[in-house]
Amino acid sequence: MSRLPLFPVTMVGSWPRPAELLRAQKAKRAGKLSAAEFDRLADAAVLEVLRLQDEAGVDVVTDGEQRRDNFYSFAADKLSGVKLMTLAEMLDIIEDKAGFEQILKTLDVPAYSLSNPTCVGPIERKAPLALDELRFLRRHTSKPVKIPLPGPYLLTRAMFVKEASRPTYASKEDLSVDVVRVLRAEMADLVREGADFIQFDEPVLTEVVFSGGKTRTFMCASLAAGGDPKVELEFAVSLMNQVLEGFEQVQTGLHICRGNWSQDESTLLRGNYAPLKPWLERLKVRQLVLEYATERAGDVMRFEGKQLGLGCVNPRTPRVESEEEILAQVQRALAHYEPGQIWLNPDCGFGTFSNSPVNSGAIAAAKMKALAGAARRLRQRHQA
Amino acid sequence: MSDLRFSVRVNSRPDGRCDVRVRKRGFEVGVPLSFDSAYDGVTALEQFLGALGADLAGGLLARARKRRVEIEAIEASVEAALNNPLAYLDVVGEAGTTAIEQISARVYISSFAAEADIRMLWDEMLERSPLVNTLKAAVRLDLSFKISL
Amino acid sequence: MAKPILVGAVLYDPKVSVIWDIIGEFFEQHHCPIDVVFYTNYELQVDALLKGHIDMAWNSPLAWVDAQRRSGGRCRAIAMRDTDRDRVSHIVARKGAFKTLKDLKGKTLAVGAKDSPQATLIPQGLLLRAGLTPGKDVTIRRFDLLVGKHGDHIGGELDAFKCLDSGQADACCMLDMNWDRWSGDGTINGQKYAILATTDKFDHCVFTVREDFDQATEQRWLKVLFSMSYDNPKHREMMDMEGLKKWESGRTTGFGPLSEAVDKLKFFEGRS
Repeated sequence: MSRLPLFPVTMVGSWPRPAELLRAQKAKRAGKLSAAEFDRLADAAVLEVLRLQDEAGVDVVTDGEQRRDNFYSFAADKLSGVKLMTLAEMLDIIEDKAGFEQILKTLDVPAYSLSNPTCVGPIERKAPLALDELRFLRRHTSKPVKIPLPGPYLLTRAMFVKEASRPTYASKEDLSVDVVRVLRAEMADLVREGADFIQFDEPVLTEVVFSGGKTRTFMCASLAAGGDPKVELEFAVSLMNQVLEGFEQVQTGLHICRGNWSQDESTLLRGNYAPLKPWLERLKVRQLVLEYATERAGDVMRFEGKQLGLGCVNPRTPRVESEEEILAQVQRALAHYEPGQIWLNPDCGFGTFSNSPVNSGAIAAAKMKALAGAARRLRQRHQA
Repeated sequence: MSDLRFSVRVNSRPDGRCDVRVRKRGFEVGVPLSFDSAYDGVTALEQFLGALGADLAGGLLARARKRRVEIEAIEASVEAALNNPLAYLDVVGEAGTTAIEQISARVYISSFAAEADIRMLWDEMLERSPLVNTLKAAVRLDLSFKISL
Repeated sequence: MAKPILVGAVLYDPKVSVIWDIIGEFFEQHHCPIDVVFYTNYELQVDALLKGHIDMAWNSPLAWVDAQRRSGGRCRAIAMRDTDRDRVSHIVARKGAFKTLKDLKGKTLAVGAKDSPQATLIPQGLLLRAGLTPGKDVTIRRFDLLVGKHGDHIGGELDAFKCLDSGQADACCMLDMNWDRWSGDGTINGQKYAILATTDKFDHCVFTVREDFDQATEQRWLKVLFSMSYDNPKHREMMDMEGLKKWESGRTTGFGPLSEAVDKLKFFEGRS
């Protein structure tokens, strides 16, 4: 990555979609709109998100995940052997419906609005996961670019629906072998074409720790219920490190939050990152992109050998944080990290699920502007 | 009261379930009430709630067709609370009855139509629903909708 | 077919009736039928046992103590789960806030329901042993959930912990199994809270009969009960629902801490 200023400002990934793009997404899914026509609309939406990031002063940009229906189920379009199923369709085939019913009630969303990429056959890339996104960004911005990807543990747990997947993969562990292979191939493509920062999203790790692996929180409509948290975390670390092996030269990050499906904070998980520390420090990622703009996350803590993507604005709240609040947050982080180790970002995306963004574009832009304003002041303070 | 009657015929089975017949169709109803989250039948109470949900969802679609408002999907989540379910189990010392005290239905509507149009359809549907009009005199009904793409 | 044995059980939730249906079917299949009678609280159940309305009662430890008290020691404890033996309760506080239990003097202790052996009575017995009088030396903040059901439902304990977590109490009480579970799933932040003190071991629920219960019938029933095996795939789900790996003979040596607490706290004072 070309030399970045101190306290680089970046997004976690997503941005709210315009209504026209949402209609187009539904129409494409129903077979009523061509991929080309959808791309035309998505291209325009990405350009607008780039413009807003430039205006706000963001240093490392994303495409706002405009082409994706959400942060992980888009994989169904790119992988053979994977079918996008709404939860309503899955309720027909899965055994344990009660758990899902509870989640739907808590989130106050219908089953038809949640989709899950479900493994129904051997998985292969039929199209690159995010290379098209990178290529478009490269044509339209000279700024460094971050590409978010679903993490291997998230994808494995989401895709392994035993009722549908067992004919092909006896266990989620078996599926994970192919998930790692697919993600490594994607990484190779992205690195070759100059992706500056590749971020893996693994929000499910907080679900593993804070709900005993039993509750499905629908941060990812995950169906393969986790087991013993320690076993699951070992599995997750192993998968992530297998994906990252040999890619030490590129900036990588792991994003973990406590859920971003609702503005109702009472439905989101709580607990600090301490239970995850031993595992997170063993990951080969350079940066941990963490949420800290909510009291549910507890206090900032040090992770040895890692940069911190410090969550300093809450993507779900209507109030725009002041630069002073952001500076105070960074000050707390400086007790544990050197200035050169801290990046500034929101706690999560602004439109993690395209059909239920957690904020408006206007507020998202204002929050990113506040982050950039705080970063400028920090650079003045800390420039050598 | 009109002379028109709607009727079904119900026959019990040895396993405690019942067969319901109407015109050329038939369907099974399980036990009246079950507390077993793994019960593999559909209880009479659940059939009743399903009927109400279908009345709401189907009624909305009918109004939408009539008004030419586009609705892509509707999903209703219906639940009921009894005065005291323990009364069903002959629990010594428990007071109360098995009567339904409250029914809540949350109806999700996938539509790009304006909220005001959806609200109009909703109000029209409620006015015409046989089950809603009957139940509102007997139990607390908490019915609401949410536009959810 | 043998005459059904009438077994009493207290229901705190209708879902619990499903477990009893399964147990009933098990005994039916083994030609030792039982009819289960549900009670809304243990006092009614102990009444029914002592009056002969039922043959056997699945009693909480407090109901056992009460049955013995009211019958003049004329009941038998005939069976219990492995998980009913050798339990302890913990008094939990913020890490580093106190060194010993005596440091709770002048502080507030959150407890479960007033009739919960594990979350209220036995821990208060521990306080008394440490020279602290509950209500006088230590303010007691009680969470009276489902009184009459002897703390069967864990809600009181969870509320007591939340009281500690919100800073409205200095310590709280909970069963060891709940401490383990909530520490594991993140409900309790292990970096913030620690066990300050632990009670002596105690026993929990027990199948209770009157001393005049027919011994041959008892032995026949126990034989069927003990034939339940966790190694048998057909029994495992049932035993998981019942919360045990093995049925054990009833014993009475584990009710000491509760009996002592109940005496010192004069819990049954004023009752017949």
